[in-house]
Amino acid sequence: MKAENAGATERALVERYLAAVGREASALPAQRRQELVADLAEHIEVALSERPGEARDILGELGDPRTIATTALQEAGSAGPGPVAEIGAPEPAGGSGTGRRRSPDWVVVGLPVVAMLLGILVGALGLVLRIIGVVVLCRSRHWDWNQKWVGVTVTAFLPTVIALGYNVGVSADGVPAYVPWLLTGLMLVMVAVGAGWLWKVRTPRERV
Amino acid sequence: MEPSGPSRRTPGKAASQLRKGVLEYCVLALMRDGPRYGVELLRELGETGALATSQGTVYPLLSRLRRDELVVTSWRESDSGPPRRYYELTEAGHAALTEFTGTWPGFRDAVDSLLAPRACARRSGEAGE
Repeated sequence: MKAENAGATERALVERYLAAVGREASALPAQRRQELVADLAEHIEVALSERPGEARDILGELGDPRTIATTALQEAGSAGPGPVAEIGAPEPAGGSGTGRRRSPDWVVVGLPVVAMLLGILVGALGLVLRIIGVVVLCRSRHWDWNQKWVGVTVTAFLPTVIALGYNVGVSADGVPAYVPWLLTGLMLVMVAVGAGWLWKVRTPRERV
Repeated sequence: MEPSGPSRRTPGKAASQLRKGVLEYCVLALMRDGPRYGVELLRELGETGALATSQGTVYPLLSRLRRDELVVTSWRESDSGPPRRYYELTEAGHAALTEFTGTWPGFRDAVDSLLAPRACARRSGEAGE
């Protein structure tokens, strides 16, 4: 900024305006309020770069802080029950602005399969991966909760139950030699089918 | 209805109710052909006149569209001034816009046919032309 004095006056104007919005929007959850103020601050900054020295007009066009805050409150009331996106710091950091990064769908679908295969070699590693897989699936936005339940049950819960059942039951003697192979095969098929199904029913999203 | 400066007039209740319903689709429509940044979106909205509203009220709407995942945003550097946050339709956003685009003509025609005097059914909307 070169014109120091004019710049300082404009900055003061803008700051007063943004403070007023923040005050009027005090009924909003803090995150939403910060987001609103950050959006407006961004707008003002961009508009000022395109129309230097017109802070007063730009603020006038944005409108009455109370009107904006009222609209924001109405929007907040009409929002769906979905999780509130986490608002990043207002500086342009190259993020998508839609909240925390989530794993891409192919990772979510691939994890239980990898967990299953590695689990055959190193049981503990498989279990850890399987738990990560469940967490990642539950956090994903590619599936609704019904699909997530089915996914968790088929790709993680049932195989774990079978594996545990076998490991506990193995202490009882007289299990024929083919049983471990049969169970392992069953679990593999189950996980593969579950993963395939998840892949089929996923909701594709851009840049989630 | 007079075509005089709709952007100055404080909108009446009917206009405000109507706008509330369609504004989000108009905003989505502005992004149909590609990403737009906020200032640009608001400028184009303002130029249409009919949607006159204090510009700032569009940001809560944009924020909801973001939460509902109808749009995503990304930062882009600009030749002049600060980086811009561009708003872009997601697949869900395109779908919502397509659905509305399909619904609107029938809705508009139905309202028109109810509002218009029987004899000159199509005049009222074309007064300014």
